[in-house]
Amino acid sequence: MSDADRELVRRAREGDQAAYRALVERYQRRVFSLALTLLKDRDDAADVAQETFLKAYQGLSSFKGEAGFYTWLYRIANNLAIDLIRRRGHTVREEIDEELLDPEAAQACEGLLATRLGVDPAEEAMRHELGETLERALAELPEKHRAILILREVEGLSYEELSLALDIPKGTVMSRLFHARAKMQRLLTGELSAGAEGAPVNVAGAVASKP
Amino acid sequence: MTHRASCGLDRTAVYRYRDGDLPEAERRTFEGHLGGCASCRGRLEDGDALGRLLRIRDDALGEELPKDFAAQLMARLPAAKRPGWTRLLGSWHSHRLLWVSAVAVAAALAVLVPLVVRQGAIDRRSAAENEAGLRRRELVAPPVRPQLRPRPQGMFMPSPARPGAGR
Repeated sequence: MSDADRELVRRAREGDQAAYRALVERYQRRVFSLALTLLKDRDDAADVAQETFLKAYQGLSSFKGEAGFYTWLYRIANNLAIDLIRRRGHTVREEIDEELLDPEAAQACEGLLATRLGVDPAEEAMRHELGETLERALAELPEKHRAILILREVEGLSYEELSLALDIPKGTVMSRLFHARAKMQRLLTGELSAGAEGAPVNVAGAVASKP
Repeated sequence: MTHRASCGLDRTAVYRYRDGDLPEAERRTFEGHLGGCASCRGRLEDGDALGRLLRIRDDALGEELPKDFAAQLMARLPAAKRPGWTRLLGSWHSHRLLWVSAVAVAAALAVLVPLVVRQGAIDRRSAAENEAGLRRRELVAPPVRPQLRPRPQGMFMPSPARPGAGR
């Protein structure tokens, strides 16, 4: 945990709400993004993010500081999002895609995604089709694969931090990341091969237009 | 389960390398392998492309955060904070050992303190009674004077005052 976080947590524990607000402002976007990736609904994601910070505030005295404050937040947010999915009667998908275990199918995709996206995906990301393609591919992943992919690729959590945030052994972290990436690469490569180029709009537009 | 790439290498090694999880020696070996393996290079480039794509998406998602998110949350904090006594009860599970110890100490004090106080009161009363007894005895019976030896005649000595003397 960074010294700045440690100091803010210490002050927040003593009842300093300004210190807690500083922590909220530091991590609100990241917690919200994770929740939105899992729930695919802006209001649900905002609710889960709020509950995450409330729960963290109420549990500050039990936070031992062994992991980063954000690791702890992600763990709470991930659990709350999964609980909400279950409460809504949706199934949290647990399956491992057997197709991924086929070495020939996996090898056929190697290097194709980078080729399809070109050297600068930022340019490609401005295309309408790409935003939607990415969302469709993410929606195909089980929630646990989506979560680990975002926490690793976007938030940059180490394997040890992922293990703490998701409450899984390090071996499972490696295996789950492998499956998540392999499936995303295969889905994106397939979609981009078949997709047509559209008018340039940003990814946010595509994401925000999701129900 | 091990996933072998066409080069025979465990395919998770590519990701472990990319994620900075390979120990130094393995990292150097893998870098040596990478120069001659198009399959591993392709997987690595795919990983980089996917990572960049997800970060771009995340930047866009962050814009969707309600503008007054922090203010709304802070307004809910006092309501979320329960009264002191319920907070104490709520901390039962997280501080069970502490609570059991506190109750044991309180029970011991509840037994011991009255005993000590009572004993103190008894001691003080006994001391007071003894002192009062002594005073009564002093008033009733004059203090016993030490027996003096008979004085030798003609020797100058101050005579003790006697009642009626000097009249």
